Amino acid sequence: MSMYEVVFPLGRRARQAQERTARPRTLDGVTIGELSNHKFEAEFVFEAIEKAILKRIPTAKFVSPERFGNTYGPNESEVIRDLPDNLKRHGVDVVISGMAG
Amino acid sequence: MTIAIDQGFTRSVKAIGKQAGLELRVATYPGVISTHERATIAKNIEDILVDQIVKQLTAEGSPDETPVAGNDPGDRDIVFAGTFEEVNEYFLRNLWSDGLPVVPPTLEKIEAFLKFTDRSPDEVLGIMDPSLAAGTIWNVAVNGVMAGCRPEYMPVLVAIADVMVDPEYGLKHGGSTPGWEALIIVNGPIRDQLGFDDGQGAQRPGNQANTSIGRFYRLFARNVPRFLPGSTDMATFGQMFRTVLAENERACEQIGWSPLHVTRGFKPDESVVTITSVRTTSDPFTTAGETAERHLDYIVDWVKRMIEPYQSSRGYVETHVLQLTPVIASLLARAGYSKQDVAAYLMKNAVVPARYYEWSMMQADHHTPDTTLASLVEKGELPKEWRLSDDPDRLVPLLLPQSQWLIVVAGDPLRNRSCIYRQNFKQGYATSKSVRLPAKWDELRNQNSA
Repeated sequence: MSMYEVVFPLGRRARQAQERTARPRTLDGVTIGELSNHKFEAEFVFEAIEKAILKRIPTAKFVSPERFGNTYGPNESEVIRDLPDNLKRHGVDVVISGMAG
Repeated sequence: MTIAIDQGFTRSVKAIGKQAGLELRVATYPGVISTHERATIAKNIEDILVDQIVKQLTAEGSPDETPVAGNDPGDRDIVFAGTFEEVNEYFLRNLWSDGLPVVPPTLEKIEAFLKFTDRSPDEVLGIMDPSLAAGTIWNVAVNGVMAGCRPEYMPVLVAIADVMVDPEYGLKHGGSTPGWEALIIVNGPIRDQLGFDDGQGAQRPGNQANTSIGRFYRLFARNVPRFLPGSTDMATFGQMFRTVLAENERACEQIGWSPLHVTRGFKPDESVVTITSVRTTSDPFTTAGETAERHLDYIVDWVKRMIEPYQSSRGYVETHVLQLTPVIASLLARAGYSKQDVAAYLMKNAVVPARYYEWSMMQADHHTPDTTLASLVEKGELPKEWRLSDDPDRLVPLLLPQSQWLIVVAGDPLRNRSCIYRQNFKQGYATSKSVRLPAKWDELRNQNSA
């Protein structure tokens, strides 16, 4: 019976993940950036999340999705390209991205 | 952190992160949000979602992990040795297969493929999402062997991979829920050189070039970008891989039509691969009569059945495919229509009443409840052609003006049928690449066929 010596068929990961900034201990005074793909009632969901978080943590701040652009719209690649600078410019500490579905 | 809809997408987000060596933080919306009214959504956010969000955004959540570097084998490392059956069993267990028996990728077989390209095996064609793995000449050859391709198909396989790594093609959206599959269209001298079929029944499995190259696409998509159902591929139903569609260029020449690749700016004697996503195919509908417009009007009717208004209402630019048999193409050409004229006819006449357009675009949750056609035009999200008046019975276009129709002639030359392939806008946007042949192409082909 023939024997076959075979190689790995997958691709090798070409980019390594970077170390991440440590998360804040709480959301007190933290600026939360909101990234939206405008799908699955994203606008309504983000409004409801803001209300719910502010009830619990009145000092939290939000930067709305309009500041960053639609992450799934016709200009998606420009929105993603400009994201690191935009997040810095708006003083964002943490990000909520929605909606994966 | 990411908000994911229910457990399925939570798994998908985490799987994508894991492939990148990251533990992505996810908050799970409980249930299928599209089936919830706003009162339910608000309650779920208040009672369930927001606490998860706070936990994931702060150090309350699971500890941060150091990203894990990959420790994959080298290209030429032997990862397994066994019989044909044992190799296939091993590949199935590791999710390296597609459910069909694979040709074991041995070094000897891969080297035979590499002879058919002058590009270095180590050449990185691009980094592929979601795995962040490198698509290389080497792993194109490996998966080409596995798919049952012949070595001389290698230039076409590389051209396919060149499309897949092009950001314009949008492969990163390859795991979306419509479960689109690629349609690979081949033009140029390579069709005859590799023996592609473009005639009656050509899109059934059977011809080795059409079938194995179609299989290669899906196998490569599973193994290198790593789209796997159950994790990174969220196709609701899924589709079988498609056999390659080779255009009947002899028929085009006879009727004075340019083949697809020429309409897309390539030279006639250039071999080209064009790939576009397909959500679904229409019925292979018949059209009848001696007048071109009678045929075209029924084709337009099928366009209206196939295309949903929500796509243009969300700004999606589409590249759909219309496949005509030679007899239909010939009739249209005799009446003076070029491919461009046919495309223009479809764009002009694929119009629907505004009331239907507005009703349809709101059927799924593609827009907020207060959205109207008028509001989309006012915001500049739709051109003014969608609101030349407020008459609900006015006709509005189905497609944005930048959308395209790719017209391909193939199939039974003597059967009056056509079909439409509905494309998925920036997910698998129609992209064409030249097939680059090795310097000794003719000599190598002759050696292989001897």
